[in-house]
Formats: sequence, structure tokens, C-alpha cells
Amino acid sequence: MKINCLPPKSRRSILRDLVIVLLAASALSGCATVRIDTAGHLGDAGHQTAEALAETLFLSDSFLDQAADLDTFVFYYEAGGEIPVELEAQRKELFDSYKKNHDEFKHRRQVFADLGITYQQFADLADKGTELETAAAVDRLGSAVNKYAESLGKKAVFSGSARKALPQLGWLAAAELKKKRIKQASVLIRERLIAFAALLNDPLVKEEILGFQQRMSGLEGDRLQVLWDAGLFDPSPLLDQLGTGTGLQAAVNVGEVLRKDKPLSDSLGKVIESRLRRKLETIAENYHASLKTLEELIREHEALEKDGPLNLTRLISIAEEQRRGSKVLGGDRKEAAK
Amino acid sequence: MSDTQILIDGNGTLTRAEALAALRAADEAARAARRDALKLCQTNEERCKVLSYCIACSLAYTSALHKSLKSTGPLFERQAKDLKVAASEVERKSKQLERAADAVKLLAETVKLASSLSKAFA
Repeated sequence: MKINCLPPKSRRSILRDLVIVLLAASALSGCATVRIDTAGHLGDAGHQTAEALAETLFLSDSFLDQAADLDTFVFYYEAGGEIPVELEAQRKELFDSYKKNHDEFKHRRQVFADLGITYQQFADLADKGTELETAAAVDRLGSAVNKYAESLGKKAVFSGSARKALPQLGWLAAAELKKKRIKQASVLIRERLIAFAALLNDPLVKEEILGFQQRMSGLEGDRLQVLWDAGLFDPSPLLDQLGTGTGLQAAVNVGEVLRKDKPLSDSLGKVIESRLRRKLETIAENYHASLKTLEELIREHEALEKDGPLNLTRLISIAEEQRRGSKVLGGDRKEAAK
Repeated sequence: MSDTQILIDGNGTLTRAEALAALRAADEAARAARRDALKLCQTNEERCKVLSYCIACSLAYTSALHKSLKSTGPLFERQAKDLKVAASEVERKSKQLERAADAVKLLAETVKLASSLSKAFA
């Protein structure tokens, strides 16, 4: 548009409007000085955190299958012969109930999957400006948190669509609009994280999640001990580990030595027992670490919204620490994030 | 709902989380007693009885957990408190078992208490 071609009145009007828009944009940019690249990094860190949380808090299918196999093996061994039909039916009922509980937890795991998707979208919003996808992901997360809250008999936490909450100020400069949307999306995600952290702090939820994990790990431990007592395991790797610091290795005939020396074998059994106990303690520690990770994530959002410095390295290292902890607890739980 | 408490006697209340934890403790106590109890068994029948009681304790916990997860309304019974005490008692007594019959009796008592509490989740 050539302003000079227009009548003076229109020209003045357009210039006046332009000044107003520039002033408004400059004022708004003051409120939205969030760094786009930082937001993208928070999105990536949030995504990693969501995966780590899912791996830490829920048992994988493979873990459950392994525990069930161990239990079957030991059950028939301990029953030591013909098993009455009623006992077999009772055992089957117990196995079915493990599966049913595990399936229930899988539904709850959905919240973490949605959290991961939301952060992916948040990172994309920072990268490409995909506000509609971000709003849809935030809505999905809110709905998953609502379902979780409802399952605890609590009121739904979120209503309405995030789409309306994300600014649609078309007259703003693209970068400013993006910053404003990122800030608003951060607020929406943070609110959902706070609600979710409150649910995970609920004593019943804690008992359900932690209790089931500890129960199934305890079962695995019990059964392993029975098999150890039966002399089915090679003790060499364990003895190798005990001697690692000094470069000692298990003797070639260690199995034979232990078979002949019951006190020696029982003592090594105590090491296994103590390791299994530590494993149970780690499960509880991991649960509390997960809550701390969520709190950390909430703090990072607050910092982003206040244009303060973010400490994503710390967040990522906490998430990695958690993942390492969950791997110590019985194999690969990556599957849990699915 | 989870923080709902109901009066179980004149002096105290119990939350669903505590009731579930009590059931888990009973299951753990039965599991801890299982190995030693089985060692004392002479017959197949005794072994099957011990295993059956242990499974019953586990089922009381896993069924209550499932119902809790399904968020059915909770009802708590007086036995919940007894069960907490009983769980530690089972662990203590299991270390002093001498006969298979004692082991079976001990586990049977645990099952009785666990099933009464698990009814609260029905």
C-alpha cells in the first residue's frame, strides 16, 4: 500500500494505527520475552522426563511375564506332586488378577504417554509454531488427568479447550505471537502438571502403584531364593561382582564348594536376600524421585514464564538418574513407556 | 475418595490406602512364612494346604487392589486394625514354627483376617 497516494486524513489514520500496533506489540513483547530456543529445549527435556516417569512408575509387560513364569515354576516345584483341581484353579485366579491389575495400571500409564506427546508438541510449537497441535495435546493431557482424578472419586480438574486459551492475536508480529503462545502453553501444561503431581501424592495412589511394584518384585525375589536354595543358579557372576574391586574372580569349582558347604551357601543366600531388600527400597525411592522430577519440571515452567534462567541440565540428569534406577530394578522397562 | 475415612471403632479411623497396605502386609507375611512352612510339610496334602492359604492371602490383596483401582466404594471393617497387628505377628510366629500343623493354622488365621478386610473392598 502506498501511503502517499492516500488522502491526508486516511494517511494520518493509518500512521496512527501503525503506531498503536507497534506500541502494543512492543508492550506485549515485554510480557513475552520468553526465549523460543529455551522453550524448545524445555519441550525436549519434558518429553524425556515423561518417558522416564513411565519407566519408573510402572512395571513392564516383560517383567510381569517373567515374574509369572518364575511363580509357575516354583509353585509346581513346591507343590511337589499331584495338584488338586481346586488349587490349580486358585492359582489361575491369582494369575488372572495380576494381569487385571497390570492392565488397570496400563490405563493410568496413558497420562504419561499424553504428557510426552504434549511436550513433543510444545517443542514443535517453539520450533514451527504448531499451536493447534499443541492445544490438542494439552487437551488430551488434561482429559487424561481428569480421568485419573475421576478414578479416585475426585472432581475433574480441567474443563474447556486449550485452543481458546492460546492467543490468536493475528496482528502481532509472528515471533512475538509465537513467544506469547509458548508462554501461554507453558502455563497450561504447568497447571496440568500440578494437578497430576497432587494425584501422585495421594496416599491411595502411592499405595496402589508402589505397593503393586513392591509386591511383584518381592514375589520375584522369593521365587529366586527358592531356586537358589535348590542349587539352580551359578554363583560365579555374583562372586565375581563381590571381588571386582580387588580383581578377584570366582573359582572354577565354586558351585561344587558351595554345594558341600551349607553355611557358605546360606551366607551367599543372605547377600541375595539383602540385594532383593535393597531393590524394594529402591522402588520406594524411585517413586519419591518421580514426584521430585515433576516438581522440578513445574519449577522450570515457572522460570520460563518469568523469563528466568532454566536449569534443564539438572532436570535431564534427574530423569536419567531415574531411568538408571528403573533399569536396576529388573531389566528393561522401556516398554512401560509405550 | 482416597482420603475418605470411616469410623471403624470408637477410637480410630482407617483410610483405604491403609487398608490396602494392611492387606499387602498380610500377603507379604504369608509369603515370608511360606518357605519355612513348606519345609515342615511331610505330605502332599499339607503342602497343598499351605500353598492354598498363601494364594488366598495374595488373592485378598490383589482383588482389593483391583477393586480399589476400579474405584468401587470403600467399606472398612474393624478387622483391618487387627490385620495390621496380625501381619507382624505372623512374621514373628513363622520363625518359631515347629510343626506343619502350626504352620497351616497360622496361615489359616491370616487368610481369615485378610478375607474379612478384603470384603471391605467389595
